[in-house]
Amino acid sequence: MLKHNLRLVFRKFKKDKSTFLINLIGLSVGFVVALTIFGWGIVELSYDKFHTKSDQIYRVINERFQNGEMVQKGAITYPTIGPTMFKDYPEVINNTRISYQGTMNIAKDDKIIRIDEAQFTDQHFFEMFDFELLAGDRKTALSETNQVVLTQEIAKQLFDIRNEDYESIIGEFIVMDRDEHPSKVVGVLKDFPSNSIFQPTVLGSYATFIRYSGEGADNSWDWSDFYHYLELDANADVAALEAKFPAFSKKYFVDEGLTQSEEKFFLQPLADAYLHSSDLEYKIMKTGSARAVWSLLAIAIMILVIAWVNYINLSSVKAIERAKEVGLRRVIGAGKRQLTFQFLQEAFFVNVLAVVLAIPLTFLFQPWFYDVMGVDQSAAIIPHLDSLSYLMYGGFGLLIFLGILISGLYPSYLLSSKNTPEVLKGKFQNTTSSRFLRKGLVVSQFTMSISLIIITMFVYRQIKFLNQKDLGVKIDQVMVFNGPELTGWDSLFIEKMNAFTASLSQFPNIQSANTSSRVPGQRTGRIFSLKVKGDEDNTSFMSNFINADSKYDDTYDLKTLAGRFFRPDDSNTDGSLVKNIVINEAARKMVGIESNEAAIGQVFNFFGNDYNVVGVFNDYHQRSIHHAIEPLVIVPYYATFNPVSVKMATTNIDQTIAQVKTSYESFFPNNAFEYTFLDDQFARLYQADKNFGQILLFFTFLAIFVACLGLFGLASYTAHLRTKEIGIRKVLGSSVSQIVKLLSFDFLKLVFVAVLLAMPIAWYCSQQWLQAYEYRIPMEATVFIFSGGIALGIAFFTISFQSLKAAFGNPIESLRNE
Amino acid sequence: MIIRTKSLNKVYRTDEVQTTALNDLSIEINQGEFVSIMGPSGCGKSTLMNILGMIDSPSSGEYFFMENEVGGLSERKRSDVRKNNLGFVFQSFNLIDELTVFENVELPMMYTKVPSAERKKRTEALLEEMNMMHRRNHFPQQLSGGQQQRVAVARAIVNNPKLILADEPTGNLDSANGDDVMKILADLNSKGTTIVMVTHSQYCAEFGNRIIRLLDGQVVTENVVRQFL
Repeated sequence: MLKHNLRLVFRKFKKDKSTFLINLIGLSVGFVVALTIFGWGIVELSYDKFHTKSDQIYRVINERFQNGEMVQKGAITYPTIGPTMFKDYPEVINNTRISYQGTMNIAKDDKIIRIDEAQFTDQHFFEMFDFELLAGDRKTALSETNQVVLTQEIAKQLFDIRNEDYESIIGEFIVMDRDEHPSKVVGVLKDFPSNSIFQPTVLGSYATFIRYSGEGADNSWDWSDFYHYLELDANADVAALEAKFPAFSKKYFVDEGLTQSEEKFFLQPLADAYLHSSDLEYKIMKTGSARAVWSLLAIAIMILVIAWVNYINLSSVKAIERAKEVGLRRVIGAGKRQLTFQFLQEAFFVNVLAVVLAIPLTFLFQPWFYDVMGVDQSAAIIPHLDSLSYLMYGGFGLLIFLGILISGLYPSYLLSSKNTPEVLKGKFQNTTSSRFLRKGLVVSQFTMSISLIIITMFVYRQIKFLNQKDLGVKIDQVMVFNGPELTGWDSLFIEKMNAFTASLSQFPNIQSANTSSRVPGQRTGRIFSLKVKGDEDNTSFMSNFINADSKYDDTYDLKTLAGRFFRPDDSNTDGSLVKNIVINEAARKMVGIESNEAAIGQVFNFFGNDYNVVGVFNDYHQRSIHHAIEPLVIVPYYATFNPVSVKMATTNIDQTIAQVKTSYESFFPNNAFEYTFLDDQFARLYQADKNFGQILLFFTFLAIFVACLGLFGLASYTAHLRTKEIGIRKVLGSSVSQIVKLLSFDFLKLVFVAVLLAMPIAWYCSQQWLQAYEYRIPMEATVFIFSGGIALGIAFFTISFQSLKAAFGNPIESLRNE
Repeated sequence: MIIRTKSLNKVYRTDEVQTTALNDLSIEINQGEFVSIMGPSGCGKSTLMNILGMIDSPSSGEYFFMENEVGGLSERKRSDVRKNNLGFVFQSFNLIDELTVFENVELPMMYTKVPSAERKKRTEALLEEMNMMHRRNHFPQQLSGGQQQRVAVARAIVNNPKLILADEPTGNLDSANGDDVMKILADLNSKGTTIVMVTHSQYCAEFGNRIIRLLDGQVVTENVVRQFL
């Protein structure tokens, strides 16, 4: 019977190629999207689940409150937190802490390489996490001062390693930055799997970091720059442990006495760290977006559902043709079960064929998708199969099963519920309920597609808005390069740096040059206990701060609203002699000074020193437009690692860069020269939004394409069924446009209903999506109207093809056919 | 007795109209009979055939097939009785367009779970008998009306039914092809198969042993054409 049914299916496809192709193309598109998104989603959900102790490892989250408001929520906290929790709570059975260093220069003999993502951690790191050491002893690695573990990639860059013999470099010494004590290589790590939030290139021992930075790196209760991971006992009650943290804060932070903040601590499961950290600040690790994962999964399912609806609709409308066959089969002995089985087999066959077609297409589509989503394909990703991924695989399987079941069962139900004698006489007509259902399904397809069109338009408008919003500073044509980290700090450094930036300004194509600890787009350090001298309440405020020289305002076109910006003599190589600061308007408002002018001459206290406010400058976006403008204080300190910004003309860029490089190398020999352009760097801050927008646009296109395929099929069959009517109308004098209107109107009505239904859905989803932005576009009615217009236009175009064909047909032919 | 009906009624109702297709109809048909049912359009012939063929059920009354009441059976049970005991021949042939001649004839045996080898044997034998073997791989639309009806008859008898219900089997055929089909039916009857046939043609009706005439859902006359042997 199976063979018989398959043969029959094949012949039916051959006979009605257009329906077959509509179903096959629609379902294949659906499966390609679903396979890609499910595959990607499973990897996204697999982050750091491959560690044996993944379920027991938690990251410490620290929330800080001042004056009743949360001023920071981050994975960043004090160096004492992990070790103290380990000491105080028996359920904490291990802990490791990490200090993030970012860029460093490491050297082996004459070979110097500049690395990103340098981190310091202790020996417990290897006890808790499963990262594989290719050489070295994981029990002792990083347990002592001046030890370093390199990743495979860095080891190969620095040493001449043959035949993957990493053991050969164990015991070798390298120099990190300008450290006078070389560090001993005690391990080589296999490159970190892509599906881990940890992507360091070099791990230095924590003891080394304490030697660099002093005992505070070990025992400070007010230096908040450290990441902690705790391993809990397998039976530990996490909620009960978290309930003990308020007492912990009270005990160690003496309420707000120590940090002038109310300190709250929470535990974040390691497995959540990748996807659920969007609200955390100072997240240095790799992060993703749960929102993107779930919304793209939902869209993939939508496209599949639209394709299945095509199948159901076309099957049900074609039931008229199938009725005679089904009736006959019933007469000669087919039971309901056998007929149902036959329809299921048909649905199964089309679906399987679509999957078979989708698999190679997925391989073609995936690289583009991964490229747009910025997924790294170079390092092997083996998703850890935990219960959630099984649930996803299971869910995907179940979805396909349900799709086949419903698309196979509905036409079988429709036909087998009919009265056989009527069916046999060709009296089969679609019932009101089946027509209603079909219309409902078309409406649902278009509601989904139109919602996506509207949401995509909002996403695109928001991205455009992000790129066009006035930042308050000018970042165009600003080149930024690394500071001379390998040059020693001495009493002449400031003069040397000023001479260098002044020499750059001499080049005709350079308008200004300066140095600062951060450039716009980068996040800043924070002052948590800023006080205003003379404030009777002695209130502590939180403000961001950066260090910059006197040319910062020229390079970035900052506007001084009161007082002045820095003069060169505001800086001093002796930090204790630096007395003047400038603040932004937001900082002035935060501390409650009524006007910019009134702020001049005020004395602020932080970091244990008094500073005079000499100027107030305009608010600008130090970070991306995702964030609100925060109070900012600029202090005129210099540092060897502070990057240099150069504002240049648009002409002869290559020549200008070469000039800057030559000058840099003559002022600061032996330092690497690595530059970027700030607008590129800024654009990267919106890359995730842009990627999401691009994918969304593509999927929206696919959704509307698949929905239109179905509409095309329905329209062509409806036109076919009404051939006789069209013929009679034409004979009686109806014009082409009247016939097109007649045939199109019914469908356009459905699309119009879908537009109405899509509006509130899209409004809600767009609203939710825009919530993540501090500055967002308004929900404009024109977007809804325009999207509805697009949908109606596309639908009309799809239908009119068939309508015109019918309308231009020879009426005699159509009557004769009847 | 293969068929016995007692006070069969069939009423079709729509929202506004009520039509009585069969009105208190009682007939009896013996095993081996060839009964022709005649009457004007709308007299209830086809309704009666549908009920006798168990593809429709009566509004009231009883229908005994081989002495078992089948009028009130579930669809599933009726389907079982139907596929094992009945064969159908229609005016418009009703072959499945997507199946070849061979597959159309074979199809009823698939529903009665006849093994594949046996199906092949029986199909080929019947096609040979109907002189259709050379057309076995053709599709219905490639055949003439007479050929299509011969295939339909082959399909109707392939499961060796006890009863063949033929609804105007020659209605769409020219006289020569019609004659052929009637001869095949008469031959089958002579071999013991009971046949009930609806026809408008007196000529065809006389191939049978008995003619039942219906009017307004009731039997008006029953004439014996030939003595039932």
